[in-house]
Amino acid sequence: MKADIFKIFWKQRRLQLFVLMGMAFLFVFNYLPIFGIIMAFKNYKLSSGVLGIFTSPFVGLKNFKEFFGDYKFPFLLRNTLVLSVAKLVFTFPLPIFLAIVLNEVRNAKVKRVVQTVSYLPYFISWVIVSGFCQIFLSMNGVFNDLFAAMGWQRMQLLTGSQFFRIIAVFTAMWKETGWWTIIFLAAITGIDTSQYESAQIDGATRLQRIAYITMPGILPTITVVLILALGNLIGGGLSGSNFEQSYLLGNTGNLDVSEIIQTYVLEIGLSQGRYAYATAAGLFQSIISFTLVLVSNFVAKRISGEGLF
Amino acid sequence: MKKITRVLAFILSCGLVLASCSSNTPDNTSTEGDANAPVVEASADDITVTADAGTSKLSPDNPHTFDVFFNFTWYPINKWEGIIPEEITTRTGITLNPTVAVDVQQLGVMIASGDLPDLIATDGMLSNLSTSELSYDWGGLIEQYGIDWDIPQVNKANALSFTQEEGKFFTLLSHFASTEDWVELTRYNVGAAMTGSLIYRYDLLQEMGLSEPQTMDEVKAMLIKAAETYPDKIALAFDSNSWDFTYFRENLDMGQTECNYVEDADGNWVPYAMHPNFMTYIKLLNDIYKAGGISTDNWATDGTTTEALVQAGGAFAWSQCTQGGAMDATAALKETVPTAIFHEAPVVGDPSGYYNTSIGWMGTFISKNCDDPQLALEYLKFLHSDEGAKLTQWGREGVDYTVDANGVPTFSDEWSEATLNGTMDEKYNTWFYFGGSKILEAIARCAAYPTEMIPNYPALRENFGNKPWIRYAEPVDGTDEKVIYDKLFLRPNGHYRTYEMKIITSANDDELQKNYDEMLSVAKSLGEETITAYMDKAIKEAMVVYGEK
Repeated sequence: MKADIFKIFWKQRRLQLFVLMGMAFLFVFNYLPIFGIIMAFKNYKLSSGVLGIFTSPFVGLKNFKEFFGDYKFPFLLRNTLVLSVAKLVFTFPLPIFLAIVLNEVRNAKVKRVVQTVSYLPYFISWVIVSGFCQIFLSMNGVFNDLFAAMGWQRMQLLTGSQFFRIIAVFTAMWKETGWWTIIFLAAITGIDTSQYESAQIDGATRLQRIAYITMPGILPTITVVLILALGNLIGGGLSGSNFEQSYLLGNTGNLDVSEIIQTYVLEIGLSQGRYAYATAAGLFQSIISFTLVLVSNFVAKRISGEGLF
Repeated sequence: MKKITRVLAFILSCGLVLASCSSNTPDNTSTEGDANAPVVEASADDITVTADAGTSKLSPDNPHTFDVFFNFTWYPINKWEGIIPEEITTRTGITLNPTVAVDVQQLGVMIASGDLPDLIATDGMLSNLSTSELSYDWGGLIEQYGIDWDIPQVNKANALSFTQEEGKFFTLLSHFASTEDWVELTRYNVGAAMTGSLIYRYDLLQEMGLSEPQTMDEVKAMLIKAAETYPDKIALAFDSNSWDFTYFRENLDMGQTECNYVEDADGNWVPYAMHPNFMTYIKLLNDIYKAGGISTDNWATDGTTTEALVQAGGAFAWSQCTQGGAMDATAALKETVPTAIFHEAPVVGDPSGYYNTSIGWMGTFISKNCDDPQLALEYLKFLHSDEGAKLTQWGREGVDYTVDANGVPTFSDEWSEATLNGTMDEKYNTWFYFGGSKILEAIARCAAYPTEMIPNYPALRENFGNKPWIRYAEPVDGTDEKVIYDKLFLRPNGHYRTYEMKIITSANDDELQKNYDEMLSVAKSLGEETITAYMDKAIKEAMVVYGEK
């Protein structure tokens, strides 16, 4: 049996080489840095060098206690969760909806144009998007000019705390919907067309076909994407990076809602050089994400029978 | 179980091997064991740090290129081009390959990854870089290579204030000037310290029928009227990450924005937000804000954006700094509005409020990745010398300037023209001044300025002061005090800075008072009393180091 496996492996050696390269990449960039986690439990200082990660004194949960006791902790946790959940709630259903709508469009030209226009923003970096926001949303920007023309007061769209989440969710929807639509469209394409033909012969309406054929057909894809989105919920889920949005659109005026754990980690770790403390804060977020993956996978399996593992 | 242990042991050893590979310690022998480095004593005398004089490698016949990283996102040049860099290469053989930071966090990432160039020029993360793990200790290099260099005691003390290794200094800060040094400017009768300034459209002031403001009330009235008269312009633009509202602070006796601690009437040091004039300062800005004179967008944009706005005619006034803002803005705007002219507002308060806390500005570190630390240090020694400082800031003697018997320079017409028409950077390029002097800089930049545009300069020459002990006393990285200090004062997101915006943009006086009280009470919960007790003691001790009191 062992010899067989070796033979197969040898036969596929060229292909396996690609797999090995992928595994090496994952190992170097995803698994190896995991050792850095021990920094969260140590009193690491930059002056002790990279090896200081292993040799610096162990401080137990001191960094975690400081993080949980920090006056910013409740705000950071709240901001991170609210932004993540808001983006998930508003952005997750949208690509499913758009994919179904596009699937029902019979005019191929319209379908292609809508698809292209909707997924192009995905390729625009968040830096550029934030630049757009500054131009459009500033006190003298297009939106405020419009408000002024309508006799309304100009609003602090860029610096007002009340607007940050709306802007973040809206820009995430605009930027990411088209891209994820492709995934769901691909899943719809995989549904056996004879089911639709049979349903049509049986007199099913278009809505009934969507409800009883399309939706169940793409349910496994929805489940997988949802689990992945939940796993990366705190990082922004499907809908773009929370970090980039908070970092680029955050400012002194909206800091009370825009500062999230990731931007805090950057601030503490890189600006103040407190790597150990920043690692503890980052690890806390990773633990939440990991728990979310496990829970969502468990729930998905219980409800739909589908799961990642 | 054994298998798992073996796999874990393998992974761990791989980690250790990779970690040690990435450690940036190519040559620790040169700087370790520097126990004999001279200990800095409080004295105004210069000390000599020398060993057996070695042979200098710095020579036009020994060309060498160093990579240098400028940790300033606003740095206006990114090329080793211009008359001055060419002359430096002619005299030293050194060429630089500069990279300018694109993000304020970039240096932190570079330190964390160990990916540092030969030289790092920065005014931040000084303490992080002051370690043998990352940088060469200058005292060690001087001793090892027998470099003959008399380093002024005070400059060394400044560098030792933020070092992580006692007695070792890893850079010397440029641009240190004591209060006594600033008085020198009166001898030259030209220029002024780089400090807060309100730059405003003089042509529009006349259009509004107003005259140059002479009191703070008149400044306020001018800005409010500008907000009413020119609603399409921002009456008071500012850069919250840089000069902020320094002009207003200084005229209210609170020093520059970097002055986090101020002396109260009893001689104790307290956070600037507890200064008796803080409320006046905040209310003044709040009144201008309520009149529509301040845009909150300025807290969301960077300095470059604000500068572009001002130079495009989008602002009436700009809270910026002396030494060029008015000239550059006038030169830029004249292309589209020929009548436009910016003036700097006069000093309208007690001029003794004009002070900074500078222990110097830019520190250049020789990273452990540098392939020739001896040559790098000799190059920096040249730039810190009188010849080097004058070359980088005044150009070539006999060509770009001549000096009279008293040392007062007269600059060439070409130089003066370049300072006025905004071509200084591309033509001469004075930005490689790692050993720069604030006094030389002030003279060079301001020599050609029309006096009517800078009515504030004579008062500044007479009165500008430096209180370096405030900065010197700041806690160093890795201490509990530093953690509290950063939480309270770090810009732009430190507690006081965030609240300052909240207070300035209060809708009414009640809200303003409520926000102010909240700021103080939250500060207390963050450990303000602990850090204030620490700073009070540390500042008083630092004053002794500088021979004050």
